[in-house]
Amino acid sequence: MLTGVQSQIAMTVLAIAMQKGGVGKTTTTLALGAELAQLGQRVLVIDMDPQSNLTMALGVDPSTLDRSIYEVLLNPTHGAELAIRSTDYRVDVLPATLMLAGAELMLAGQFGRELRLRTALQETRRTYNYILIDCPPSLGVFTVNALTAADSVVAPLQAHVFALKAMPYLEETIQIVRQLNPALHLSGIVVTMVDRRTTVNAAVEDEIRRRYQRLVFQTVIPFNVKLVESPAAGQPIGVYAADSSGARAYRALAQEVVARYGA
Amino acid sequence: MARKRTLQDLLRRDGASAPPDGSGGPRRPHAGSPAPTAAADDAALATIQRGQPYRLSLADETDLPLPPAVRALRPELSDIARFYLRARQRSGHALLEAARWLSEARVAARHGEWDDFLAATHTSPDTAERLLRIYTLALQSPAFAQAIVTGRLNQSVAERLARPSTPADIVETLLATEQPISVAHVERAIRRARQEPTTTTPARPRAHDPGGEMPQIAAFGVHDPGGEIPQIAAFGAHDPGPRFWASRLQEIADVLRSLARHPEQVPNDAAVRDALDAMALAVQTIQEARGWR
Repeated sequence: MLTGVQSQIAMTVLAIAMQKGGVGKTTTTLALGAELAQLGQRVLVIDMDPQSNLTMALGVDPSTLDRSIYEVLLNPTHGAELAIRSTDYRVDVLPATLMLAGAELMLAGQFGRELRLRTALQETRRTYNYILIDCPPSLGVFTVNALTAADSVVAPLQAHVFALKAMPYLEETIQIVRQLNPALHLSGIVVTMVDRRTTVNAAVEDEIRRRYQRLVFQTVIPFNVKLVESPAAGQPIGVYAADSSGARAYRALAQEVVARYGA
Repeated sequence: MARKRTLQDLLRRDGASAPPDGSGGPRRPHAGSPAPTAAADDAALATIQRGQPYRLSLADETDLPLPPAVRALRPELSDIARFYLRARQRSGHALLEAARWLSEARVAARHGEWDDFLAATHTSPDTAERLLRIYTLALQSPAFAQAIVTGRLNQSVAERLARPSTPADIVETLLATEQPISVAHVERAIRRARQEPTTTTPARPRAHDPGGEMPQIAAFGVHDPGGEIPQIAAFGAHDPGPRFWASRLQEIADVLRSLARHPEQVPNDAAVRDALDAMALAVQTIQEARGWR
């Protein structure tokens, strides 16, 4: 089991990753990023999914963009600044468009195809306290780019039996990518979609904490319909429903993140 | 009656574990299952290999297809060629990987640490700078990276191409050729690019000017104190061929001698240089074919 908790780091790149869809990766990237920005941190969120969910959840229309993560991956030596956009929520975004779907084929077989995001962020990371990378659920060139660029991985883990069984696959992936990024490690687990009325959620949460101990954040993200609605509204949960249980949870999580990784 | 499975059974790590997203990930043996047999291993391997697992682009990739010319060799030589090409490929990958890690060190090094890193790794600053440029160009140009991996570019040529002073169009043009590229090719292409006239008036050739030398003509003039041009004279001395061909070659020799004596009359443009290059190459080919070199 990989462990590692870093603290007191001024610039931190976190890959929000889990090889299972629907566990809350985009929701966590969006909400956590916005709450960190509210705490005064300089935050960049990166959308690595051609579905552009994170981009749209921040109110950015992908169809209007002429530059995105796609251009950055094809021209990494130009840096990421060429495509970064500010938003209304004090967080910057490196957006994705449907063009990104074609990048996988273009990058196939090329030298350094996994190093492109890391190269593009070399200077950019000095501008931000936190860079959060929203990874797609599949293990492909985009996820590997994200893991190669990141300092560590934060895994949203749905409080469900089968979600827990995905953890070994993520750990195995981290081990593989350490051939390219030796410092990569799992640094945090966020338990998501918790319904405390059910026995199974409580049992799964207990099992997660038993296995991963200090890696697991104390804050759990409750199942909250507002968290489902806020991306559709193009707003972070802290703006869409500031008093909701989901918003309160992500505010608490942001505090924990700052305490764990420093600022 | 089978024991009813509890939640704890489901949570056990060594329980049945299907990949959550159908990616064909590794399967773990069930607790208490019998020792794996060869047949079971084969079945497991087939399961693992189902689908297309992601492969990292590391220095140990050796899956370049063999060119038809290699496959056409005698089987023993073809086998040796396969090992040779794969070793060359590994060296190309290794060069790029070394350049990559040097780039990582450059970024990670704090004030004063870069020199310490170079000293500790016995890397000269010049070497480091050249490798960093190679890495940058490899990321910018897939063709450049591929040419290194396939062995068309050795480190010296790669370094030359990666210099900031090398025009990008020259890099593209050279990489578009199918043949191995030498430092001489690069230097020649750069010289041509620098000597291209910017106006329609042909520039006067400066046969003995190091900044604007036309080596093709200068070479013929150097060894001609009034006598024969050695490269062409060799035909008269050694070629027992028909007098017809000897006469034609002598005519060429006379023309070149005249040019060498009056270089100022030769237009310094790409067409002339290409023609002279072709003539020099033809001479070289004939000499090699006849065993005169």
